[in-house]
Amino acid sequence: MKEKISKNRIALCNMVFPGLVVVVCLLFALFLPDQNYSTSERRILAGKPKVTIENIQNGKYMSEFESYTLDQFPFRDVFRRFKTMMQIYVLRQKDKSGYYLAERYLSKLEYPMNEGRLEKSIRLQQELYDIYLKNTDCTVYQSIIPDKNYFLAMGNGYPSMDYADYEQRVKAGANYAQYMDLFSELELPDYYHTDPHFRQENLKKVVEKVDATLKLGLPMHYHKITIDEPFYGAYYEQAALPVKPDSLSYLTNETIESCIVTSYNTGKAKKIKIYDEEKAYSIDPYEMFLGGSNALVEIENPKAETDRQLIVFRDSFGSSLIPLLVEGYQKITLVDLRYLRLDSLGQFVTFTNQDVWFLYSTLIY
Amino acid sequence: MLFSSIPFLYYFLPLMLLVYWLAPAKFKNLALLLGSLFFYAWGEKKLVIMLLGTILLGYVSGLLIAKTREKRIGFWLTFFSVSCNLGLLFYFKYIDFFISGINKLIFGRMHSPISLLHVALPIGISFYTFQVLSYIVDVYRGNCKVQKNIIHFAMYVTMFPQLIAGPIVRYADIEDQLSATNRIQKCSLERISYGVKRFICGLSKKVLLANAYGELCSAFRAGNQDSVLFHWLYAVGFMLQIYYDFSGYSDMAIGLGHMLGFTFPENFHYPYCSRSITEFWRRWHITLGTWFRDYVYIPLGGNRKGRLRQLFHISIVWMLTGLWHGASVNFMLWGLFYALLLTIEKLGLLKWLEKHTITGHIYTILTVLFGFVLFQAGSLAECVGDIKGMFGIGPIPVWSMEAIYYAKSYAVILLLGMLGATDILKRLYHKWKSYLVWIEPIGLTFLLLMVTAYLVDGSFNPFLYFRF
Repeated sequence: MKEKISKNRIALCNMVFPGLVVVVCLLFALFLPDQNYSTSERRILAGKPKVTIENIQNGKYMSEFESYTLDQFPFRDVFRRFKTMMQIYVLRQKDKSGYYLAERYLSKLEYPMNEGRLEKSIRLQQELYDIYLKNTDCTVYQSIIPDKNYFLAMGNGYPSMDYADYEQRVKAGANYAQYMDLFSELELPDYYHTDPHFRQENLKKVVEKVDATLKLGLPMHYHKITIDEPFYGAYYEQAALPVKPDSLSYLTNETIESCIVTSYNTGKAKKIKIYDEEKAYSIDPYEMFLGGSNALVEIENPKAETDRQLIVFRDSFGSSLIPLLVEGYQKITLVDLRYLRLDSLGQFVTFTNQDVWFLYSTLIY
Repeated sequence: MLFSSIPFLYYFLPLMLLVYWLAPAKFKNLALLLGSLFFYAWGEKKLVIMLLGTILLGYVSGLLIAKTREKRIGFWLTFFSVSCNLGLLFYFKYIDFFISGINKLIFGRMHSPISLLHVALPIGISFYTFQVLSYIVDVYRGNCKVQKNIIHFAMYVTMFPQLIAGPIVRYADIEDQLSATNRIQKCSLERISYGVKRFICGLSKKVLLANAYGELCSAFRAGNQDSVLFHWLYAVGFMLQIYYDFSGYSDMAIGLGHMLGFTFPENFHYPYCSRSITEFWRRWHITLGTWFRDYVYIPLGGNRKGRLRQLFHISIVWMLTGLWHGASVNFMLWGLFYALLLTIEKLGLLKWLEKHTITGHIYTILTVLFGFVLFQAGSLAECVGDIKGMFGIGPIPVWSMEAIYYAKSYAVILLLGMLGATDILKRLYHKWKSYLVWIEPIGLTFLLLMVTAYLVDGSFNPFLYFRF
C-alpha cells in the first residue's frame, strides 16, 4: 500500500513538474506584453500575425505564428544563455552557432571561405572601376582588413579560411589597384573582445602605413576620450558567452572636431557628427563613428592645407579608421556599396584625380 | 506542426489535453479527431482533403467488405479499395520517379518528352495509407471487426501522435482502445505519467541529440577540407541522427498515446545492439517490418514455397521497403542491399554470427553504417564518393584541421549518442531505480527546460521521417 502511494506520488510529480513549466511559460506568453526589439540580438522581433483568410490559406499565418512564439517566448534571453552554457560547458562543443570564445575574445567562425561573395565583390569592384575610374587620373588602392579569426582561429584549433589565398585572389582581381597590406599592421589586441571591429585607439600602425603609402604627412597627434559606459559589442549577446565587456574610446584633435560631416543616407544631405557620443549609449555603440551605417558620407576639413581628396569604398571598419586620416585631405568621401547602387554612384561622386581606396574587411568583401 | 516546436509544446498540446480530458467520454473521440485534423491542417492545408478522402474510402470499403467478405465480390471490393489507396500513394509519391524512369529508359538521358508533374507529397501519406490498408485487409481476412462509427474510424487514421511519422498502428492492435470508455477504464495516473516521461525522453533525443548530429552532417556537406576522418564522422553522425530522430519521434508518439489512453506498438528496440542484420530489422522500425511481413511477404508465400521463392520474396519485400522510404534509386538499392544481406544470412551466415557475437556486432554496425551512407546520398555518384572517402581512395588526406575540429566539438555528443544507443543506461536505471526514481521529476523538468532553450534559440530542427 505504502509502495503504491509513493509510486503515485512520483507519477504525480512526473506530470506536475514539467506541466508547471508549460503552464507558467504559457501564461507569461499570453499575458506579458510583446517586445518589439531584442537588444541582445539587435533585431526586430516578430509580432502577432494577422488572422486573415488569405494568410491562413497560403500558410503565412502558421509560419508567422511560429516565429512569433519563438521571438516572444518568456525569458527568451535566459533560455538562450542556458543553451549556450549547456552546449559549451556540458556538451563541450567548441562553438555555439558559430560563435566561440578564445583567449578571452569572442569571435564568429568565418569558415569556409565564402567564395561566391568574394567573386561577386571582385566583379562589382571591377565593374565600378570600368565605369567610373578607368579613364580618370585617380590613384586606386586596395586593402583588406582581416577579421579576428585571422589571429584567433588557427592557434586555438578552430577551422580557419586560407587568408593568404584570400588576399591573393583579391590582389589578382584588382590588378588596377596598388595593394596596401594591413594584415601585418594589426594584432589581436587591436580588436574589441566582444565586437568584430578593431579599436580606433589601437590603429596607430595602420595609420602610419597609410600615411607612408599615400604620402599624407599626418601629424598624428590625437587625444583619447573613453566613454564612461561599458561597451557590449555585437557578439556579446549573440554569443551569450561569459566575457567581460569592453571599453569604448575614440581619438580626436582640433582638426577632426572642426570637420563638417554630411550624410546622404536617404539622398538628402544631413549634417552629422564625426563622433556621435549619444550613439555611444545606444544599442550599437560602435555607430558613434560617423553615425554607423550610411550609404554616403562626406567629411570636409576646413583646416586642410592641401586640396587632395580621398574616396573610400568601405564597410563599418572604415568608420573608425577614416577620421584619423582627415588631416591629410581636404575632403574624404565614404561610400558603402551595400546601400548605394553602382548606377546611382555617378549622381553623388565625380571621379577626376582623387585617391580612391577600396577598404573592406574579410567579413564583408 | 512539429512535436519539437514551441507552438506544439506550449500551445497545441496543453490545450488539446485539457479539452480531451475535460470532454465527456462520448465526445473524447470527436475532440481528438478535430484536434488531429487541426494539427494536420496546420502544416498541410490543401491536402487535408486527401486525408479525408482516404478516410471516407477506407470507412465505406470496410463496411462493404464486411458484408461481402465471404463472397467473390468481397475480394474484388478489397482489391479495388487497396488499389485506390496504393494508386493515391503512387500518384503523390512515385509518379515523378516513374516518369523520369520512363524518360531515361525509353528516350535516353538527353530527352525528357514526358514532363514531370511535380506533385506535392502530403505529409505522412506513407504512414496513414499503410494504416488504412491494414484495416481493409484485416476486415477482409476477418482479423478485426468492421468499424461502423465514422468518428472512431477517422480518429484512428488521423490521431495526431502517430499521423505523420508513425509508428504504423494497425487497426487490429488498437481496435478495443477506440472506445473512449475502454480507454478511461484502463487509464491511470502511472500510465499518464509514463506517457509524459516517454514523451520528454523522445523530445530530448530529437532536439538535443538528433539535431546536433544533423548539424555535424551539414557541416560535412558544407566543408571544404575532405578527409577520411571527416567521412567517418559524417557516416557515424548520420547513423546516430537517423536513429535518434526517428526513435525520438516514436517515443514521443508512444508517450502522447499513453497521455491520451492509447497503447501504441513499440517501434525501436536498441537496433544498434544487434548481432546480425536479421536481428537489426527485428529491432529497427518494427511496425514497418511487421507490416511488410504480414501484408506482403506472407501473402506472397513467405518461406512456404521453397528456398528460391523465399529469396525472391525477400527481394520484393526489401525493394518495396526501400521504396517506401522515398522515390529514389538510392532507397531502392538500400532495400536491395538489405535483401542481399538477409539472403546471405539465411543461407548460413546467421548461424555463424550467432556463435561469434563480437564479430556479429561489428559486422552489423558496419553494414548498417554503409547502408545509411547509401540511404542519405543525394545520388549514386555521391554515395560512391562518400564510400571512397571513407576508405581513403583517391587524393584524400587521413585527417584535416576541419575534421579534427568537428571531432573535438562533437566528441561528447557522439559518445553520449553511442552510449544511449545501447541498453547500458536502461540497465543502470533499473539497477538504481529506487534511488533515481525520486529525482526523475526534476530530471524530466530539466530536460524540458533544456529542449525549450534549444528551440527558443531557433536551432536546426528538421524531421527526417517527414519526407517518408
